[in-house]
Amino acid sequence: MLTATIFLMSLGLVAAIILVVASRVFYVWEDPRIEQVSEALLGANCGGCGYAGCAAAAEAVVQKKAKPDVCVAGGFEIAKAVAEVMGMTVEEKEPEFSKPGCTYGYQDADLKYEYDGFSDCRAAMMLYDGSKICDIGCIGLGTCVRACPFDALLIGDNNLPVVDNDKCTGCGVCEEICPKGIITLSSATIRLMSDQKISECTAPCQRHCPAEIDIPTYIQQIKKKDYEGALRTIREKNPFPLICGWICPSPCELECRRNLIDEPVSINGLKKFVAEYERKTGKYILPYLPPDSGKKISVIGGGIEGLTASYFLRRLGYQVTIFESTEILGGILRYVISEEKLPGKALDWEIEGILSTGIEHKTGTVMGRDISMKSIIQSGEEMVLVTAGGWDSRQIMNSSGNMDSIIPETVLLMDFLNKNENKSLTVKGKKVVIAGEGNSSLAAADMCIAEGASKVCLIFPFSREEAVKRNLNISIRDKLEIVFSSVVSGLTGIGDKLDKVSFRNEFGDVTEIDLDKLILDSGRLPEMLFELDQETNRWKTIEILKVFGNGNSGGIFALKNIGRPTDLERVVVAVGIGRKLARGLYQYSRGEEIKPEDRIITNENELQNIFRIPQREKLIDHRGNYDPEGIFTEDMVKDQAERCLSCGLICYQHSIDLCKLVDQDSLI
Amino acid sequence: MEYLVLAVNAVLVKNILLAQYLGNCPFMGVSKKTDTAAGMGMAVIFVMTFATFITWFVHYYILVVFNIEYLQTIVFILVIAALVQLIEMFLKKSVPALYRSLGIFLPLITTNCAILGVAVIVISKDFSFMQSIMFALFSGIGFALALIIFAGIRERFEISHIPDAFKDMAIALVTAGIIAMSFYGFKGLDSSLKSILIK
Repeated sequence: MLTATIFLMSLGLVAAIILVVASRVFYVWEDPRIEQVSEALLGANCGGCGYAGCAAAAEAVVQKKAKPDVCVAGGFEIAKAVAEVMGMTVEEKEPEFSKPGCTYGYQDADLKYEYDGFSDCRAAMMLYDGSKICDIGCIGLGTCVRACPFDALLIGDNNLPVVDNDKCTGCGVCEEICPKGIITLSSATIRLMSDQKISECTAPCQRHCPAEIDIPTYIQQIKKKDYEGALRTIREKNPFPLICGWICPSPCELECRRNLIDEPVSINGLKKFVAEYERKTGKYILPYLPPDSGKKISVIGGGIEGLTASYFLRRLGYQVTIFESTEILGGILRYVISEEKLPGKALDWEIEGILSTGIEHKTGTVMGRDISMKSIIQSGEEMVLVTAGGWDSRQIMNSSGNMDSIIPETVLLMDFLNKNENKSLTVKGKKVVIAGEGNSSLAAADMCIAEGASKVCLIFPFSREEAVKRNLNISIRDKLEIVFSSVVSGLTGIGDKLDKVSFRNEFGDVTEIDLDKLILDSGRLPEMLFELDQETNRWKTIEILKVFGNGNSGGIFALKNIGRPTDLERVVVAVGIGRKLARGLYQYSRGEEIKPEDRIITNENELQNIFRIPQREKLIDHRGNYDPEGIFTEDMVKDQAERCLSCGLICYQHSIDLCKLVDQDSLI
Repeated sequence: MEYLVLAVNAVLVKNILLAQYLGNCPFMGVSKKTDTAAGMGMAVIFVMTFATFITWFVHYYILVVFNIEYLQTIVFILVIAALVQLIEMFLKKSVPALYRSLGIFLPLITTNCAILGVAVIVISKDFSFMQSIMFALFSGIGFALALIIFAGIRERFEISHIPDAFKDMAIALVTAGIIAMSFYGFKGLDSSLKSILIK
């Protein structure tokens, strides 16, 4: 007994001494913060951050290889805790949730074959890309559900994954594992920033909306009487549901799949109803606004495009100031459209709503007269976005102000040709560059030479052969240089003076030349973004229009013959472009390359579609019963919403219980 | 030749996991993925050999000398625990690459019964020092083999239809039993091998 006790004690002592000595000898210094950071992290080891588990992420944070908000799953609270350990600060980010992008489970969708194999989407994918005819349909075998480290997913009754937003942390594991790329991370900001992609399930109506509103979703929300939710869905892409509700020519309805049966759902009528519903309640439904990023931007032009861009920029955390030359915001809609078609009160309501997100505005301020590039630089702004419109907006200003005032020394071709001895437009002894398109730009070039310009450079976006084909008189003239297959890719200047223009040829080589005056052969001043440098007083343009998907060919000017949107013939087009401008600007200011998203839907894509719907009962709507202002009643809204086939890419509601929907009389 | 028979015996016939049922805790715990199972297997081979090396000396040069063999179990546990700690510190300092791949498994097997079991078996069978080391090494290899096979099978559960009542641990235990039965087929292999070799 005694021997054993003494022996064990001494053995323990020896072991302890050895360990103590060893711990000194083999001591490895570890940053204690690694331990603290790992404790602050979630500990789920989901890998959503891109590191091999939480410990690795903690190490990366301490080594400053990762930011405190590395934990995508943990959200703001955890980022704050980590930042506290590291003595840093973090900004609150909008939470992201997984969003399954398929709405028809395999019991409702058309199938190529019956699958009865391994219960895993990745396995099913190997056999002709899954059993659904739709290329982008959810396989529904729950690979994402098993992968979710937070138990936030389950396969619902319709064989599609359902996300529990309370549990979802936005780690992105499901997005990674889904072989079809159907479940993706989503937030209002992501949806705001993204365009429709060919990998997404889009309905025909939605694809033809220039503003890309998620139409099927908002109709479903209206059907459930969730009018507020419907408005939120619309506002993700279009801040003007009321104005569009009144005057949109609704290209969506032309493409409505119900056209194959009877007549389209009155999509715009539904939008008008919810927008008027909001107006009746008298309370704006405001979006999530992130904390101020501290970035300031001036928007020149308070029309629909400028207001849309301002709204989305505000929505992304910018401090926006709008400068409008007339006394009231609203642009051309104020002056061109009659009161019966668009009541001024509706316009006021919607613009007020946008301003109430915290956008500042100064009316009666003309760029070039009251403010200038120089004064904007001096006021400490970092960027200027020009959405000034064209000759049409000049009309509403009664042609006041200098014609070339908005962008220094830049004039529209039609203003130049009509200048009538306007002294400010004289080009005598000046170096002139013309961004041209046709014979009229050649005429302008001749005019400049006759007036005594020292040098004229004419830039055509097409080749010499093309110019000959177009019967352009490109014979050699003195002092005239014609550059083919090139686009203007940048303007720079100092203070209120434009001094350099650069253009890019088809091989991507950029040439820079000096100039004094720039003449644009387009009907309007294109949307332009200027970056300002406080120290040197210099400004330069950013190629923001790249977001339109024209790749490198576009340059900074929106010339129509190369497929650029120029004249905003419909308000909804202006809305769509306003959002894309905000997106390009956001990308640029975050140091990313401005470029269109991959795989977006364009006219060239061939998407799966259906062109015939098997015979089914017709449901003619009774649109005759409008109230005087053409606003639907709640019953009519219900009927209309029920008529929607809830289309996806190729799926649609195969059967609906007709008796529930309408009186038997209206059935034909 | 003697070692070949010993190897067959330790790896297949008397597999520490599947014939002697020692160390079932990691067998169930770290057998969900083959790569972690492989890591664990390597750690066990390493620690098992090293622990047997030390305990053999402890037994013959301390316990026997002081005539206190009855303290074998508790002393071995103490020695192995201290040893694993020591190895962990050593690896962390000197071989960080190995530490990163084995590190998290080392504390798991500090007091594992498979390690202690082998240390005790070599004493009870009166193995020589060299035999003890080889037996421990091959037992470790047998452990790793069984663990990796089991993990490979369990990975397949992920994509199989398993009745709800059998999910997770139930099916794992049933599978472990079936693998153990299949290893039973090796019984007698060592003695027949021995007789062939002697001839």
